[in-house]
Amino acid sequence: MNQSGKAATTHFLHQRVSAALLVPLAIWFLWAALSMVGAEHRVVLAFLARPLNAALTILFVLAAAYHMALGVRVVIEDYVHGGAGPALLVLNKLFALTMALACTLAVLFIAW
Amino acid sequence: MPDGAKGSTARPLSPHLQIYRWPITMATSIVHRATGVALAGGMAFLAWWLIAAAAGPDAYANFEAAAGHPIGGAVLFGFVWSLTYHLLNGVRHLVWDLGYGFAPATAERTGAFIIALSILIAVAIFWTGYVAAGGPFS
Repeated sequence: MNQSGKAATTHFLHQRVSAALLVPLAIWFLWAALSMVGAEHRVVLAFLARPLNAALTILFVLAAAYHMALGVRVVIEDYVHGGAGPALLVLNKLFALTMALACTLAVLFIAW
Repeated sequence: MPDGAKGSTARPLSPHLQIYRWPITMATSIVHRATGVALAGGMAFLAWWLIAAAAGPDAYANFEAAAGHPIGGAVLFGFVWSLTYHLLNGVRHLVWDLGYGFAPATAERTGAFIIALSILIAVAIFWTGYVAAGGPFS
C-alpha cells in the first residue's frame, strides 16, 4: 500500500526472480515428496539428512516463503480495503517468516 | 434500461461475474491467484511434515495418519494440483514477461493447454503416490 515506484519495481522483480528459482526447486521437491509417500519415518530422516537434499529443501522453503509473502501481499492490497488491511499485511509477513524459520530449523535439526 | 431512440435492450453490459462467460485468460488469472493463496495452506502442511519428521516417530505417525485419511488425501490432491497449476501458469507468466505469447489468441490457447495439462499431471502424481503406494484410494 502506497509503495513508491521504486519499491513496486523491486517487488515485481523479486516476485519473478523467486518464481524462476522455484520452477526447478518445486519440480525437485514434488519428485522428492512423491518418492517418500508412505515411506517409513527413518527413510524420510535418511533422505533429509543427506546434505544436498537438506540444502535443496531449505532453498525451496525459503524461496517459496518469500514468493508467498510477495504474492499474498498483492492479494491483500487488491481485495482488502480499509480496517483489516494493515494488520493482515503484518500477519502475512509474520506467517511467511514463521513458516520459513520452522521449516529451516526442522531440516537443520534432522540433517545436523 | 430505458428504450431510447435506437433502443436495444441487448447492448453489452459491464462484466457481472455470475452471468458473464469467462474468457479463458480471465479464468487462468483468477485461478492463478486462488491457487497461490491455497498454496499458503500447502506451506503450513509442508511445515507440519518437516516438523513431524524432526519431532520423532510418534509425531510422524500422526502426520501420516492425517495424510492417509481420505479427507487429508483430498486436501493433498488440492495442494498438488494447485502447485502444478501455479507452476505451469507461472512459467506462462514468465514467458509473457519476456515478451512472448501475449497475443489474445495465443494466450487463450496456452491457457486452455495449461488447465488440461495441470489436471493430467496432478492426477498422474496422485495416481503414482497413492495407488502405487497402496494408499486409501487404491
